[in-house]
Amino acid sequence: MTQLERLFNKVKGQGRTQLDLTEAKELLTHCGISVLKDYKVTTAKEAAAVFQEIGRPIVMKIISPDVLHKSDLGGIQINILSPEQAEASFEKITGNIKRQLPGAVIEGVLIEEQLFADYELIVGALSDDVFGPVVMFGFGGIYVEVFKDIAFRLAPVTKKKALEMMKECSIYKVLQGFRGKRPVEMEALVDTIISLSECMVEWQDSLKELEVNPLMVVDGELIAADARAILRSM
Amino acid sequence: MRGEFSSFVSPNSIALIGASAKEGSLGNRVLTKLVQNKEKKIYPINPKSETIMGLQCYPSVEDIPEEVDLAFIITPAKTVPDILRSCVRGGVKAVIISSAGFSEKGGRGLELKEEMLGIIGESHLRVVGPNCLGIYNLSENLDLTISDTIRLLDLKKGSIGFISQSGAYGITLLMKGLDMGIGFSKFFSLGNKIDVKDYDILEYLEDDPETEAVIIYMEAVDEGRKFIDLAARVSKKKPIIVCKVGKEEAGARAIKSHTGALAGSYKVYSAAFKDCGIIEATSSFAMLETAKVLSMQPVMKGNRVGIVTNSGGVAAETADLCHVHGLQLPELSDALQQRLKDEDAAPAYGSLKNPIDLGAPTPSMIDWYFRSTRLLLESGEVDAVLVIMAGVMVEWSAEKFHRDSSLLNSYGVPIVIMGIWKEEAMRKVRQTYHGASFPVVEDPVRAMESLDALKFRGMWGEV
Repeated sequence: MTQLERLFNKVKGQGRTQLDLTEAKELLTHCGISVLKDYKVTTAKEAAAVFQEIGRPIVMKIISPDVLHKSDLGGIQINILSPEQAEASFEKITGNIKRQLPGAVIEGVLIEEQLFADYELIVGALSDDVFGPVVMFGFGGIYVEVFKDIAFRLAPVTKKKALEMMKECSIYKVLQGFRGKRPVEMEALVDTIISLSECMVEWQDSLKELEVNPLMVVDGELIAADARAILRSM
Repeated sequence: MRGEFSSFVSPNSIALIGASAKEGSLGNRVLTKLVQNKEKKIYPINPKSETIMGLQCYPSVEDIPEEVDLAFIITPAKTVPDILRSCVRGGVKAVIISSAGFSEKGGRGLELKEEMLGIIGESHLRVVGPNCLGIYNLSENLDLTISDTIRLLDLKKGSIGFISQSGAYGITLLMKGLDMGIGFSKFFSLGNKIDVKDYDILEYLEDDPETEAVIIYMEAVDEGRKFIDLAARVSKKKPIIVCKVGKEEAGARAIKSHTGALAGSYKVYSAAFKDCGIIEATSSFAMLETAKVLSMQPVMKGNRVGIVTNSGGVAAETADLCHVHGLQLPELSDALQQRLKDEDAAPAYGSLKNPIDLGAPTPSMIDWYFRSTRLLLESGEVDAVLVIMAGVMVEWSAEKFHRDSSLLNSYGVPIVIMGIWKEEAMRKVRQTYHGASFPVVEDPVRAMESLDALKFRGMWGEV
């Protein structure tokens, strides 16, 4: 059994269909997509210690299989600039979830370096009932469903098709370098779309949806900052 | 599917199950249509009658002494499974089930569907329907539908194969197509698609010599990948133009990611179409128009359009649509502009940059239209010529274009006529142009959409 099969079995064994962030990142790493390093903490003290280790602004997010859209429930804190703030944010996040979603399993809080992205992209894939694996690219972030600047193709995609998808989106013009910002590493972006589409095809029997949002562009480089992976329910 | 499909489109013997002697009944109306095909053997099936319309009537298909190619079932849903079994025993090859009341109705209908699936699965039978109007083979003028409307239309044979998931609207579009000057080769109303799917028909039409373009009015496809793979193959040979309806559907599914929420069904359909060279029309009428243009003219080898017009207004509206479709209106070279003047292809006062504006109608304008169109075709500076004729010019120019069509059609560069003139005159005008393979489109939006399709086909062919 491969590493991913073991991962999927573990998730299913726990009666879940959604992978938590750590698991989703493991899946992405396996697909060759570079992810933002994270730390899992279970106490406020640990949070402060992690801040010391990173030594730069951090973000903190709830880890719970019951929370789908973390920011809606106050499960995310950003701009944390000191160990004290890290401690306070831990209490705030866990408090918010306990209050808004009583009974939710809280596994801890995740800490990452806070990145200041020039742009936020989205790369997703899913197994469509009619056409099978498909892949999506577009302008990401929390407003993705408002702007709908996205393109789909059947997966897997070739380099040419990945590029075609990018060109279909308005964000493509911005990615070339806009207002003095560094252009995104196009090769890397194309590879990310291809990798995700191939991952979806390879694991279509287990995976239902797989999504990186935001895929941050920091100084031209790509970093998967958040991810979502959903298994088929059997 | 190909060989066996002849039993659907060109059967020699047809059993009508549910034939009736009662005038005005469906069984009577359909039989009336069938018996007009003198060269076909028609067998009315009805256990309660001895003869109908002078034909011997049989209690079931099994009782027919000869071989039956096609059984056409129009009896109530609950009777269908038993009839299917007798079709299997009777060695029938193909079945059209027009009857409704199956999966679309739920409950008992779903059970009936399962029962039918079992029978079909264990036999060699191929089944179109249920809940469909049937098949109309215009190449042979064989009407195997329950439609009364078709009889009222003088449909003309042509080269467009039409697959419609909607029965009534499909017939309506056949009629509208007739008005637009389109001829069809085959019409398939597929209904619930219990057995024969879109891709089966597509595969048949792929090699049907009577069919040069395929149009599909689509609600949904079955086995999307299979359809797309086949469409990718077919679209290398003939254009496939689809009007997809049901674009806002999502909702019902359990969706957890943005990707899922955004996918809806339509986005994925649209992506799939792009992948396999299907041309997606913005409306059912645009689908007909595009099919007409593609079936009459060669593809564009680039994206440059040359326009000849007698109205700056229509030309401006049309030109505005260029960027939507990735088309260009290049400024004509000085040499070509000079040639247009030297050869008396345009008035001295008009603009010749592109669009070539011929100004207000005069009798000499017929020659200007012809010459400037020819010079554009010949120049190599454009990949298509859009001839815009607002008002009476489209009528005045028709004869000239018709008479010298072989010259204009000899350049391998497509020509589309956009004519806007009173309907009473346009009937004849359309016929004249269409008779010379010049498609007449009567609206800038559809004209540009069809040019887009010509451009797309040109690119698709190269892939």
